[in-house]
Amino acid sequence: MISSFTKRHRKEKWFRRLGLASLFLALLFLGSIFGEIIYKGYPAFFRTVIARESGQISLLNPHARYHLSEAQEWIIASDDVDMYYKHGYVGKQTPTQIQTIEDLKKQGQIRLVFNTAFFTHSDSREPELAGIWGALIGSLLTLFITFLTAFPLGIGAALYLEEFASKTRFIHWIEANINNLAAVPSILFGLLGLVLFIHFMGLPRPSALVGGLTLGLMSLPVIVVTTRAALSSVPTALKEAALGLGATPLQVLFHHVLPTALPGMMTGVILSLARALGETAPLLMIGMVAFIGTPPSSFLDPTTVLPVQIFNWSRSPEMGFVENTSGAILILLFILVLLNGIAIFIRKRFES
Amino acid sequence: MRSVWLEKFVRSFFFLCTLSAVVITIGIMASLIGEALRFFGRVSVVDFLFGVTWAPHILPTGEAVGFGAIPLFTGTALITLIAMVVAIPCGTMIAIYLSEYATSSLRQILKPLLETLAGIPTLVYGFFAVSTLAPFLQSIAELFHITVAGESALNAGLVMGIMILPYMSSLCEDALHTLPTSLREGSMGLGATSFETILRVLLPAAFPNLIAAFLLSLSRAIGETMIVVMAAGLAANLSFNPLQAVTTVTVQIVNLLTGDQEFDNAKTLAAFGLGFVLFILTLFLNILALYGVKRYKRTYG
Repeated sequence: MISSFTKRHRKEKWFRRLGLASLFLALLFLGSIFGEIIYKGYPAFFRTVIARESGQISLLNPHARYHLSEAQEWIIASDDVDMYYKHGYVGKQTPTQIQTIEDLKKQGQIRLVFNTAFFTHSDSREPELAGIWGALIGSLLTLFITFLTAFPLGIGAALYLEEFASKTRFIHWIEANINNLAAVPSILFGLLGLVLFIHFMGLPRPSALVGGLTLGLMSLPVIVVTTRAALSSVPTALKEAALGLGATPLQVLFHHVLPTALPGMMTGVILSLARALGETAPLLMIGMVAFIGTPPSSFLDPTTVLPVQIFNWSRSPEMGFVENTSGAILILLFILVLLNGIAIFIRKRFES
Repeated sequence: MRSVWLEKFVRSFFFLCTLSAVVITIGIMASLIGEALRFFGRVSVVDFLFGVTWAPHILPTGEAVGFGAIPLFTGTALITLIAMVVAIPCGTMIAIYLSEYATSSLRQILKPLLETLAGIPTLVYGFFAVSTLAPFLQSIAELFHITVAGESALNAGLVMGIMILPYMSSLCEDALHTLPTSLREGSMGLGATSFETILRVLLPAAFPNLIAAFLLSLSRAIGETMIVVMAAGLAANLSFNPLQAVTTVTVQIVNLLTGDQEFDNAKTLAAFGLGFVLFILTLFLNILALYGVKRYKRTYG
């Protein structure tokens, strides 16, 4: 009897440890992914500059050479110099160049400064001049269109299904449709966008309008599902009390149901926009892969978005772009964590 | 009277919003079927679904050859299988730990963390796969004198498994946590340990929902694009060797559509043929997950 008892409890202990171990393993994996990206990405926020008085023109970025007349004391070094100074990475540099860099180091005429260009420049063929500004603006314009498309339609559909619809077979079919649509691979929305917006409607190809509409179609079912969950958590007693006091159904909806469900709805909308912000595959389908060196000034201009630019950078062979890729991923993750944090905060704040 | 009129108006406006979702589904199906039909006008369905050579090109005679999609299907299956082998045991165990063992304060931290992690763009995982895991796997394999392709199925599959893990454990955790406490109390009151309660009572009770979670994760892995675009290859090898490079349906859709963009070309049209197969497959899995397992669900409490 006793031995069986100990055996059962030993099993219990091991099982519990197994659970803890898999949790740790998963966190370790995910932690190592983020650790690696942070480790690789943070140097992108700094860049090497060389003192003007050193006169080492050959070490400068080719574009910076033209600006020598401007009264700058420190001038951007080329990416080869940058890579050698930061990581000791030897690529195309000649031995003389390396010697010069070592000399400059001793004289204190080479140093790292905060890489403002990374935040204020748009994409460039040269890693030391490339930045994420254009892509950030592109993402913002695209998300704005996504919001305009998906938000009213999604909320409207959710309100209808949750508050007005009678449970007919047609409504059940629509519900099934939306639930399935929320789980359709995003790349298929890209194919829809390609046929519908580009070939059928003839909208300009790599524009924020087409990208935003495509992502809007993708976000719509997700918004419907999350909004319905928020609406269904509104207690029936609240609605019945309002109706009993003589409120019309519309008054109940706008004065009681919507305000109560609002935090949950906002959480869902923020999370689906965060998902749209990180989406790449459908945008590749509608031709948003081109190199765009200037920020878009309208919804119809050629546009790139942050994840697409990350994808393009990740395919460049230069070491400088590997660093930029990780740096841009850090920015993207920062924005996403911020959005998720806001969503969680709203949910926690209004839950009680 | 005005409010009645207004209510009718608002009601029909909301109804139109609802119809928009249906229009999207119809739009996806119409665009996929329309273009896929044009594709099958040039390449026969049998050659496409059962052909074993994928090297799409158009002969000078105008004949489209090399559109056998079997290597893409096997490549997708192999990578997805590796991902599932990683994600199912690990995800279920995490869900069990979080739902049954973790203190409520730990659960309150980890649950939002899982949901946040599930929202990380797959592009990030793809970049990790190419830039870190691929060289790492190669250097490990070198110790054992094995050659691993830089774009191996193992690499893409492992990272996809890690990617799917937060999503799957979150779904599984929901499945377990929504079970009524009376089930646990009843079992433990009869003297069962937590392990026995989980194994004999909770897992069987949550089984349909767990299967639904697995199916939704599977559907997500099959449709996953960025990880495989970055980490898996373009070479359509008909191979089940995880150390070799394989390609997937989604990789080829991206590859066919990001090159030349003549719409009237068998190569670009092939992307829609592949897209159609992908749509049907994920539709089947989603319906099975959302409705198929429903009839096996029991209500407790």
